[in-house]
Order: sequence, then C-alpha cells, then structure tokens
Amino acid sequence: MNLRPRSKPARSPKRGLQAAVATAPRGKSKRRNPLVLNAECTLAGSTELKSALCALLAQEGTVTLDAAAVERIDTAALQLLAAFVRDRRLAGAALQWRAVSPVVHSAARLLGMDTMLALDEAAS
Amino acid sequence: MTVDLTQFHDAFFEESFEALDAMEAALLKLDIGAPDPELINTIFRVAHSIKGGSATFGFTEIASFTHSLETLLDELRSATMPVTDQVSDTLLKSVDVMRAMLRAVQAKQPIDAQRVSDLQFDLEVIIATKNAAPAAATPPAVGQAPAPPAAIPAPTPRWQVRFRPYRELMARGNDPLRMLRELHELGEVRAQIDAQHLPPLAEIEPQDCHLAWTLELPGEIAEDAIRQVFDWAEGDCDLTIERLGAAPLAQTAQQPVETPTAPLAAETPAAAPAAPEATPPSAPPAPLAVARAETTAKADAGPGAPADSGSIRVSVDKIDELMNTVGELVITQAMLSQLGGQFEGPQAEQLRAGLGQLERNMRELQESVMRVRMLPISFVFSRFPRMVRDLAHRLGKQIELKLTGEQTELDKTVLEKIGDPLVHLVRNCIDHGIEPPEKRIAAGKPAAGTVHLDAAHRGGNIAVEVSDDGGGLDKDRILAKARSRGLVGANDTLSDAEIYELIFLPGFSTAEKTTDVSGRGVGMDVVRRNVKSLGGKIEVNSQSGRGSRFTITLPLTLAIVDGQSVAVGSETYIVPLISIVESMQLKNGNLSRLSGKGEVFSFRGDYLPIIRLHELFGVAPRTHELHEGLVVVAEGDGCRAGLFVDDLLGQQQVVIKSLETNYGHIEGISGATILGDGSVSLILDVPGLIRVASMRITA
Repeated sequence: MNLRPRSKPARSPKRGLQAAVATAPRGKSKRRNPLVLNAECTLAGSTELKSALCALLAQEGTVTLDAAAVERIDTAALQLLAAFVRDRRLAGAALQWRAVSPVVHSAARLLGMDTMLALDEAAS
Repeated sequence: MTVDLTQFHDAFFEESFEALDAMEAALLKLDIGAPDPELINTIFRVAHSIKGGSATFGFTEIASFTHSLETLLDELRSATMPVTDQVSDTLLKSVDVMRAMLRAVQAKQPIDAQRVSDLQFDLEVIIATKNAAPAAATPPAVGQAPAPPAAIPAPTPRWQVRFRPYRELMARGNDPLRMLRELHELGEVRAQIDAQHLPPLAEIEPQDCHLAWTLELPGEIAEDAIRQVFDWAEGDCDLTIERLGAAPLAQTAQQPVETPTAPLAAETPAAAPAAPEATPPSAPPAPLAVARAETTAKADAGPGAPADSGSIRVSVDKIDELMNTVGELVITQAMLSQLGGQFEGPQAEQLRAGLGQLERNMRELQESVMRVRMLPISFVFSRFPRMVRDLAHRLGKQIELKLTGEQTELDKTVLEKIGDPLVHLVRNCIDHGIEPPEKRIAAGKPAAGTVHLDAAHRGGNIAVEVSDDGGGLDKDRILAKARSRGLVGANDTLSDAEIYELIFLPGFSTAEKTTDVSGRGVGMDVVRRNVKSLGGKIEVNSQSGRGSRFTITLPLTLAIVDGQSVAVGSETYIVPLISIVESMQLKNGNLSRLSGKGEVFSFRGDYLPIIRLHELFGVAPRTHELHEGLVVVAEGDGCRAGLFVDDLLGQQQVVIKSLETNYGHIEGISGATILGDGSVSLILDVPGLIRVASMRITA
C-alpha cells in the first residue's frame, strides 16, 4: 500500500525533488527560506527534503518552515523535520512555523512529536 | 501470501466459548441501574474480540451481530444508556445466540438466521429508542450528574505497547504513522516518542527509522486487534504489549489530552451535595450498595484470575496415555518389589531400600497424574447462576443461589457426567421446592428462597449437595400418588426414607400440571441412573416446611476403584466396595433350595439368591460347600444377591483397565486390573452379574 509512492518517484528522482520541496518564492541558490513543504512529504522525496533541510541548518537568523500545503506526510519526513528542529534548537538558532496544515498537525500529534517539532505554538 | 486461517479456527472457537462464559458471568453480576464499569468493560471486550476474530475468519453473520451488540455495549460503557432489566435480558440472550452461532459455524452447520436477526433487531431497537429518548430523559440525566464521573475515575486497565522499529522498517514499506492511525481507529492512542537515538540531521539516512514509541491504548481493545496492526511489521520491530492496571502514565497524560475532564471535574463538587438528597426516594440504597461492593470484589478476583492462571491446553488423550503408562509402571514396580523380597545376599538390603524408594515415588507420580485430570467443580457450577435466574424469572419466584466448595476437584469424566443430574435437581428445587414469595412470607420465611449447591471431599469420595429452604417433600402427596398408581399397597406403611425413595421411580411425578420446567416424571429416575453409572449414589433428606436436601456421593475418579479382592479357586476377582453390603459365613440352617429358582439364603428377614461365582465363570472352586466358603452380600440396581466365593483376600485400590477398548464388553464384568504379581484380575459389575445369574436360573 505504501510501496507505490516510494518506488514510483525513485524511478524519476526529478519529480521527487519537486514533490518534496517546492521552490521558495525568493528561491536563490540552494538555500530557500522560508522552506515551503510541498503537498507530498513522504519517504519518496525524503532525500531531497533532507538536503534542503541540511542547507538551512547553519542558516543565520530565523528559519521559517511552511507546511500549509502538505496533504500527505509520513514518518520519514517527520523524522527529518524533527531532527532539523532539534539540531537548530541545540545550536541556539531560531526557527518558526509559518503555517501548518491539519494533516501535519494530526500526524505529529498521533506520533507524539508535536512538542519535538515545536508545533505546539504553530498556527494551523 | 495467503495464510491458511482454518488452522486457527479451533483456538478461536475455544477462546470464544470461554470468553462467552466470562461474559455471561459478568452479565449476571451486573447490577441493574448501578453497573460496575469494569464488568461492562469485560463484557465489551468479549464482544469486541469475538467480532474481531469472526471478521478475520470471514464469519460475517457473527461479525455483523457482534457489531450491533458492541454498539449497544458502547452506549452502556459510556453510561449514556442505563442498564435496565430489558437490556440485561437482551444481552444474556445475545450470549446464547453467539454461542449458538459459533457452534453452528464450528460444526459447519447453517446458522439459525431468524433467531439471530430477531435478536439483532431487538438490539437495534434498544439502541434506537435510547437515541430517541434523550429528549424526554434529559432532565433526570442532568440530575444524575454524579453518575458519569463515577464511571470514569476507576483506573481502567490500559494497554501499553512498546514499539521499537528496526532501522529498515520504513524501507520495507511500513510507516509507523500509518500503523498508529490504524491503532487510533481502535481507540484513543497516546504516544510518547523516544527520539534519543535520532542522529544529527546530517547523519540521518532518510529511509532509516531512528524513532521508537511507547503507546497507551484503552483496555477494551482486544490484544489481538492491536497485534494485527503490527502484523506486517513483524520481524522489523521489537514489540511488547503489556496490560497496565492503574497506569500512572495514563492519569498524568489524561489531563492535557482529554479536554472534557476539566469541565466535568468542575461540575462534580457542585453536584455532589445534591446527590444524598437525590438518592433516598429513588431506590433502596443500602442493599444496593452492599450488593455492588460484593460484585466488585468478585469481579476483581473473577476476570483477573483466569487471565494469568498460567495453564496450558492438553488433549485428554495425552493425559489418558500418560495415565496408562503410569499404570503400567505401577504394575512393573509391584512386580519388582515382589521379586526383590526373594533376594538374599549382601546387596539385597540395598535393593530393597531402592525398591522402597521406587514405590514411594511411584505413588506420588500416580497421584500427580491423577490430579492432572482433576478439574474444580466450578466448571459445572458456573452454569447455574444463569439457569436459576432464568427459571426464577419464568416462575415468578425469588431465588438466591448459594455456591460453596466450587474449588473441590474431581475427575473430568465424572465432572462431565454430573452436570445433567445436577441441573435436574436444581430445577426440581426451584419448581417444586421453593414456594412462591407470598406463601413464603405467610410461612414466616424470607420472600427469596435459597438454593444451595455445595461440594466437598468426604473420605475417598466427593459429596455434592443440592439443598433448598422450600417446603420440603410432601410425604402425604407422594404416598397418595404411589397408592393411586398401585405402587404401594393401600395398607402398607412406609418409613420416611422409603417414601422418599418413591420419587426415584420412573414416571413418578406429583406435580399437578406439567410445566416445561418439570413435572413430566422423567428426571429423578434418570438422575439416579446417571449417578449410579458413575459409581455413585444419591440420598434424599427432607423436612416438611424447611426444605429438602439431595446428596450425591461420587467416586473421585473413574480410573481407580476401591475394591475387595475375593478368591474363587485359583482366580482373584475384584468386587467394588461401593456395592458390598456385608460379607458373612453361611450356616446350613438359613439355606434353602427352591425348585427351578436356585438357592436362596435368609438375610435379615429377606431371602436373597446365591450366585456361585465359580459356576458363572467356570472355575474349579476350593469348595462346593456353601458353609465352607463365604458369601458377599452385594447390591446393584436395587437388587441384592449373595456372591459365593472361597475367600476374602483384602481391600485395595485398583486401576481400572477397560475391557471394551482392549477386548469387548462382557456382561457382569466392568473391567480388569493387573495385580501386584502381574496377574490379571476381573472387576465385577454387580448389577450385570445379578442379571446374568437370574437369566441362567430361568433358562
């Protein structure tokens, strides 16, 4: 059941990249801030999501995450986001959610990750 | 991959039947109006697990029925619907229907669809009327504000699931989020994440799972249902599912998640002072409270106990095989002991010491194996609360059932056969024994009659008593009936015991009209026959106006019999002790010969026929003279006879070996046993023996 989204984009990595991370409005080079997560946030596009997040790890100032458009998310994506949020916090760097879709909210709550993801204060 | 599910059917049926028994027991303990939430949970769990199982195995009728049942139970559980008499009756009927459905499916027979759909309709009507009723029922519901919180505070048991995926879990197509969603459909999941093994972002392989969870789920969910969710992740994760009693985690976690808790808690203190005023007019509060306390205590011991009794299922065949082997061992050991006694020499003493040790161990082994076959009589007793309740309802009587000695153990075979006789006796007590409430009150007795079932070990036997505090046996009526049927002569005077004996005659009933409960006159004679076939006996005791008592005495096991070994010529026979009246030496004077009727001897003013065992079995006796041998007066099926033997050898317990399974049935012989010297000895069946002998004489 879950196999399809994983294997399909694997064959066409370009689509996966687009699926995972949409080009940010002011999208310059690799660093896109705010980072807008796309509708499909799943294992299939996780490699791309990871590199997008890694690029923002050392970003100065506040990193803004936008999850308003997310329609599907899985544990793999949430795990990356959680690691990202934690690493930013450990580094004492600022982070904020601009908007979070109900899908992300409910998934995070179910997995007990909302605190880790700092979603508690995020508006939906 | 298709899994052959039929291999799990047997386990499913067995578990379901057990679960239904538990459900029935819980229903019977349920107090109308003030149900114990834990009992409702128990009932709900049963319905839920049967629903889950039957859906898995494709038993759609059962699944559909249990679904309706579950809906109703859910209403009860959330205390949005009161437990009324009607509800409790319908639920009990549901137990019967589910049992019948499971039996039908098990036997691959069609399900009685009409019965099922009728009851399902009833269930749905109850649910529907409840949903329609709230408008009218709202005011009292508000008044009873303390009730809903009463249902919540009990620290309901919960499941704690530790779910630790291996790294490759996600790469294999399993998504923990999806699994948690499935769990969430079963009940509210509270997840605590463990992310301490989550490496820095840069080092994460995106398809590896580095997270783990501790989940808490409501206790009503069946463990199977939880496991099913994790089925596909088997081998890709560590999973432990544990039952928590009063989970501290649950209570602390409850606050932030369950928002309704706060307003409820705020409401309670305000409503509490109103409660004492509200209760007195509504119902008799004191007995209710007592009854409830009792049932909760029972409930604690009840559902908890079987869950962790640490038992395994073993087929009876295996145990019988084990018994047989042990029986053989006992014989071998006896032979060795006998042989060891004949040895002389320096090591003979050591040999004998060793043989003594062997004998002791052997005896212990034999007893342990015997105990394996023993089951507590509660297996039989447990059916009575329901039966008594239904009968009392039907007959408009108030009956309290008292069960004692439920832990008394007896052999499984005996246990299986004693159920029906007990049912007859209890029915009789309720139908004939206990008077209607008005009559009881008039007689200065409490309105509710008591039926008492008791079991206890007495010597090598077990005594099961069924007693009631009703009117007792009506001697005059029994006698009048017997006279009118010509069973007793018009001028005969009978002792009390003889009058009571009459009720065991086939077709004897004093009931003025036949009900479907009893009165057809089949019953007591069947009871006696069943008890006798188990090698037991039944006695009656009765006091007019104070009740009657039936005592069934049974051997502990059918595998061993207490026997008297007797010598006839070179042969040894075993006469079961239970059928021996006494043994005596005959004097020439009290013997007489009837032409064509064989020999008789006078015994306490009666003439009994003599059965010469040597003639019957074709053995050369030591003596043909009756006064030189001994006569064993034996009784069977109400007939007595004197068995003529050469000598009495001794009393001993013998292991019964069935002749039927090894050879064939022989009239007059109930089995065989192997004696210490290795020789085979036949065990006599006294009633059969008397039949054979009388046939010979008349022939």
